[in-house]
This record gives sequence, C-alpha cells and structure tokens, in this order.
Amino acid sequence: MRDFLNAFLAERMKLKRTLALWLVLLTPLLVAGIQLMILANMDKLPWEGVSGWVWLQRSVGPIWSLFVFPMLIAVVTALHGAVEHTSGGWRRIFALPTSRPAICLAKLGWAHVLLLLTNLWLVLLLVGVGLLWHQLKPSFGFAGIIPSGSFLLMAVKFYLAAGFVISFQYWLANRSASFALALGIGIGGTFVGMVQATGWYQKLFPWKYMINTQAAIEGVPELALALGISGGIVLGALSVWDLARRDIT
Amino acid sequence: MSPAITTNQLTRTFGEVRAVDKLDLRVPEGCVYGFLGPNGSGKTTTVRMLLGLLRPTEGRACLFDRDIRSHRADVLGRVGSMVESPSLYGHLTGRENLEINRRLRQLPRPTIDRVLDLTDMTKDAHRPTKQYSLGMKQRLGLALALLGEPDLLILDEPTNGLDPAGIREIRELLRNLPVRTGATVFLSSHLLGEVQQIADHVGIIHNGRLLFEGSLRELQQAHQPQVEIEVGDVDRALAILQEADWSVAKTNGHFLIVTAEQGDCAPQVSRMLVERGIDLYQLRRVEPSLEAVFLGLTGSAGNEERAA
Repeated sequence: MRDFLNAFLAERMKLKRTLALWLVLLTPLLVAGIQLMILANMDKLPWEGVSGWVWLQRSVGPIWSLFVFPMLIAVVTALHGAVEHTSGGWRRIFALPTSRPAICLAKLGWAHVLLLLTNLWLVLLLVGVGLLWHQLKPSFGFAGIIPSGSFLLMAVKFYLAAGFVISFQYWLANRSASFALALGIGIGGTFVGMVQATGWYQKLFPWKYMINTQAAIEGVPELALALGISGGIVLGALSVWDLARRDIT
Repeated sequence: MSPAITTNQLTRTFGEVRAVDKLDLRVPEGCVYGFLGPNGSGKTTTVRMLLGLLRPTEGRACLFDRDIRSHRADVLGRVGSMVESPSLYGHLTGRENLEINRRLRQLPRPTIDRVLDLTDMTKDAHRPTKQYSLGMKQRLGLALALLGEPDLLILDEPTNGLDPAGIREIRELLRNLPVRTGATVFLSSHLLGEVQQIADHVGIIHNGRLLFEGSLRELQQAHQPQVEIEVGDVDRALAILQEADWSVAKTNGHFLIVTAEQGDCAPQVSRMLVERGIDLYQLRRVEPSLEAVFLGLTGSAGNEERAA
C-alpha cells in the first residue's frame, strides 16, 4: 500500500506540464464552447416543452460519449504512456526497489482519475453554460433548479461504461512504445463505434458502451455499465500483471 | 569480504542469439569494477539482468549474496543505477526528476540537495531537463543513481557523450566513491582507457562470454611477456630465433620482437644470439599495453569463433 501511495504521488508529479493534463482540461472547454456557439445561432430551442437543461444534456451526450470522450481516452492514455517510453523511464523506475505492480497500478489509477476528472469538469462547464445563457436569453428555459444531479449521473455513467476502453487503451499505450499503435486503435475503435448498427454489435462493442448508457432500450444501459465496469476491472488487473512482469529490453 | 555481485552461469538468449553466455562474475565489495567489452558484447544485457530488468534464460545473478529475482526490493534498495543514457523526464526539472526517485525510494527530502551538490547540479536543478546539455544529463543521471547513498552503483557507459572535462569530473567522482562511502562501483564501458583510469578490477566480455576477470595487474601479467631487440644482422637473428622455436616478429630497421611462451625470455635470447655471433645492440623487456591485451583477448576470441 505504501509503495502504491508513493508511486501514485510520483505519477502525479510526472503529469505536470504534460499535454495529457492540458487535454483533460481543454477538451471539455471546447465542447462547452461549441454548445455556446450552437445556442448563439438559435432563436429558440428546437424542441417544444423541453427545458434548456434537458436540451443541453441531449445535445452534449451523444457528441461526448460517441466521439470526443473515446478519442480523448486514446490520446490521453497514449500521451501518458509516452512519458515513460520517450524518456526510457521504464528502465529507471523498474530498477528501483518499489513494487512493480504498485507502479503499474498507480499509472492505471491516474489514467482513470484523469478521465473521470474530465467528465466532472464537463458537468461544471455545462452548468456554467446554462447559467450564462439564462442571463443572456432567459427565454431558453434555463430557469429553475439546476439538474446538476442528472448531469453528474450522466457523466459518471460515461466514465464507468468507459472502464473497459480505458483499461484496454492504457494497456496498449504502456505495452508498446509505438504512439501510433495505441492512437490508431483508439481512433479506429471510435469510428467503428460511430457506425449505426443494431443487434449484438450495438450492445457489445466496447466503444458503444458510453452512449449506450443513455439508450432508451430496456436493459441496454445496464448491460453497458456492467460490461464497462467488469471489463475495466478485469482488463485493468490483466494489464497491471502483464506490464509488471515484462522484460525491459 | 562477501562479493557485491556474483553471477552463476548467467545466460540470456534472444531467439537464436546468445547475448550473454554462461557468465560467472565475481565483483568484490568496495572496489571499482570495470566491465569491459566491445559494442554488442553483452554488457548492457548483463547490466539489465543484474538489475532485474531482464530475466535470465539460465543461471542467476546475486547482489550481496541474494538472488535479484527472489529478493528484488531488498537488493535494489541498496543499489543505484544508470542504464545506457540517463532516463530523464524532459518536461520536468532536474529537482523534480530527483523528487520522483526520492518518493519511490521513500527517502528524506535533504538527500536531493546532497546529490545535487555532489554532482555540481544545484544551480541548474530548477531548469527542465530537456534544456540540459548531454554532460548535464549524464551528471543528473549519476545524481539519480547516487540518491539514497547506495552500497552498489551499477553504471552502464557513464561517460558516454561527455567532453574531456566532463569525463574527468565523472572519473574523479567515481574513483573517490569507494573511499568516501565504501560503495562498490560496477561500470560497463567499451573504452579501455577510461576503465584503466578508474577501475582496480576488470572483467572482459566478448560475444557474451567472460574472457578475463581479475585486477588490472593480473590482466597485464596474464599476457605473454615480450622482448624487443636491436641486432646487427636482422635476417640471421630472425632465422636463429625461429629455428629455436621462438615466436619472432620483425618490426622496423634492426629491431625484432620476441614473444615468450612463458616466463622471462630475455637471458636466453641474448645468450643465443651472442653465442651465434650476432651483434646485439639493445635489449629491453616490453610491458604490453592494456589496449594490446584487450585487443588480443577480444580479437583472438573473435578469430577462434570465425575459425570454428
């Protein structure tokens, strides 16, 4: 446990001034900015009888869960892994007395922390967008109680359903020194996930789990969450085991 | 005194290639041990196995009499290392790089200032390491290895890419380390001249095999002694000595080099030539340079393999 905590703190330091950290902060800002631009181009909400908050959630959810977030997972994990690969860091940290699994678990932990934080940051920004728009155009229905619980639940579900993809991308990014491999597979998975399909593929393809948490079909959100969480835990454990025992050539 | 490093039949293969082949090393505690070999001879693979970065195909490596694989944490807690080039996080400052290792090693904060001072890096510690020169990176790499006052330093080509002044600084630092701290220094290098100035023990590896291990003096003594002579009639002297089964080579002018199979051949050579009426102007024993010994060992090992 002590090794893990020390490794976790050391990993935090490694993230300083990294592009991965900037992307985690800037990507939700970009998405929130796009929402502001969309609102600025509308005279009124396109749906009758729907509050601005519901519109905002429905507008952001698909873009974020199907495209932006999966891409962000691929990029952030690849950049995070590249910190060790480009510096020859593996041979440095694995020659220290710290437990190897603790080091790998701390890295996986930070990949998850970063990607959870980006979702929570998005929620904060969306609330900010709604509040700002209520000041500018009160007719858009951003009045009343802020449904922050609903936004938060959506974001947490996106993160939990992404568990499988996060652990998988973490494994790839840290196993292979090739930045292109991890990124390529992440981009490929994202684009295949964007293809409209039905049946088992719709339910089981890991890059679809995030959007499936918002599906109106019975059992699909629950399945997406179950597969995302359990897959994330199993793949996470496998990746830590594999990365900790490999030879550093 | 127990050895700091012992390896027993240590072997590592990569596919068909035997990078390290049945290596039996014994590094005495408190010495500076030069692990010499040409590029590609298996030095870095050995270093990686000593640090537990690479699993041996056969055999085992022990540090302080404990197997690195089964006592990894205990053993590595006493070891500082630098494998190939220094592994630095370029986006972090020198101090932040040290802070990462300090945390992972669970050491007190003041240890950072001590190693920065020791490697003369204090004034540049606040700069990102991507701005460092090669020499500064090498010095910070050494500072990382020295963190926690290790009992054993394992350094792979520590003077690579340094300018002469930098090499001298590192050399002084390493040479004094056993005296100041009692630490053992194991450094691999392909530069004999470098090792000769720092090390008191050497191991010579070639094509994964250990060709020699011992003190520098033993290395020199292990080589066949030679006698250089200046004679009046070189061709006749050459014929006489060859007839007597000496190994003789003509150098230039009136000089010949006679190599003894064993022992000192100077008295016999001089007596033989004088008795046969050869004018002998000069005779002197030639101490073979370490370079000649090194090249002789690695060269002959290579030739034997080619012949096989």
